[in-house]
Amino acid sequence: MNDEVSRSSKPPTRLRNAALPEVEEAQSSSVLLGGVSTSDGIDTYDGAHRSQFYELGQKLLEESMDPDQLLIAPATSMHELRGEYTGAPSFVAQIDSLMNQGYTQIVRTKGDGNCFYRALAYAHLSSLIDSPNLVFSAKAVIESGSRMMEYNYMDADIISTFCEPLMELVDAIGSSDPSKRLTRDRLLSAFLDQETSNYIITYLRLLTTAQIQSASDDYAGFLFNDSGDQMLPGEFCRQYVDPLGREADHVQVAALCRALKLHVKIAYLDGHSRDGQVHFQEITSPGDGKIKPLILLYRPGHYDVLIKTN
Amino acid sequence: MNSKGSSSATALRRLMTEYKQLTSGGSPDDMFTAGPISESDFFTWEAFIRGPRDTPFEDGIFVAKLTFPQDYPLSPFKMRFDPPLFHPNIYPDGNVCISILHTPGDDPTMYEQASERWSPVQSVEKVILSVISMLAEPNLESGANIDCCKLYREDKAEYERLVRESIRQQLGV
Repeated sequence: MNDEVSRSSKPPTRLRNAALPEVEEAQSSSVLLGGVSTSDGIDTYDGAHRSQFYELGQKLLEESMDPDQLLIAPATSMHELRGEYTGAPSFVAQIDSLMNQGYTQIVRTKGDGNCFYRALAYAHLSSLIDSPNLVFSAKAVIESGSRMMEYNYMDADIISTFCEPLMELVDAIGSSDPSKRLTRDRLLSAFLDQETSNYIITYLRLLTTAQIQSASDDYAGFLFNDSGDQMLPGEFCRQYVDPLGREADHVQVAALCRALKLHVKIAYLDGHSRDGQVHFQEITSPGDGKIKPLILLYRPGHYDVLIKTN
Repeated sequence: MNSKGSSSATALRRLMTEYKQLTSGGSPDDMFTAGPISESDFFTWEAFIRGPRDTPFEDGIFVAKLTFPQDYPLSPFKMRFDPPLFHPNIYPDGNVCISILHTPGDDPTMYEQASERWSPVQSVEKVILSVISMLAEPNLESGANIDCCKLYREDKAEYERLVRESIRQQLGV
């Protein structure tokens, strides 16, 4: 699995568990862990104190628990996000640095435990709208994903039920009929529809499970429960991948990007840099060719989509 | 934000598939049967469950009502024994409290994070098999009937006697 995570030669760690045995280098793990758990030196960063991080974490938590929050929101300016972090100079510096690099908009997802899957699916389809020439290969990848699920003894009826809404959207991208062609607005309304949105997420979850089970040797060393005990792949997927609302940690992120053959860059907005530098974690897959990477924004415990405008 | 019509259409299709599979395959060792109460409503099922052998439930046949939501299988169904069963994980009103019938965000009795949760690849069959093993081995960590939990912990023999007696009453023998 190391070859997929190009920034680091150390094995991927689960994002939210401080107690994992493989977290050994404080320096690199604090980046990977997004500041959730390795508390080394938190008090020294940019005058931000533990209480402040706590406060920001609470804010994000409250925001994510808001039942009225949309599943996904139309793109908004990064200025808005910046406004929410006044009083946290290290975050503001990172947001400024992102804006200077051209990342000026953000598509926010609901913090319901499905945010990684929803953000990734939206970013993927959105990039296909920009590059319809890639639709054919994207479809082939999804179809082979469904076959991988069947090899893993998933019920064919169940797979096709959950695959359909995703395939319909992908098909609509290349539609020659303008009244059916998928636009960004239509993509957004599809993702706002509870059923369509959650069926797509379920499909991606099942695909993640199939990937972890088919290449279980690659993942077996990284599957732990909340108490840090190692789990069998099947058991891990039943508990931490399949159920809607279970957050994705590093293993799920790596497995899904691999199954979809995606090139993904995740910007870590974690306040852990004096000079506003933002670390990007890059995930490449053997078959991703030279496609433009999808960009996600990670704040401890939450994923959104970043949009670059030039 | 909602598409109730199409949602229940997907749910209906899934329920019909599950029913077909249950009737053609049957349950392992004939431990249970389940199906819609009436053909006009596929969202309400009845299950007949045989008490697992070598447990105080062994002579009983238990009836449970399964109620499916419109967005099944994204959300789990509810299961209620009627009449209620005396068991640590069954509420006095008969509702079954088991982690597999709850989503990760829904934690009525603070199940451990690691407990198995509902996911759309679960099914009526898998849930009922879990409930049958729950009958044999109660989970005292997440009790639903506090009196029953207490009795189970403090006087298991008396608990078993009460269960057997209630089964005899139900059978009318």
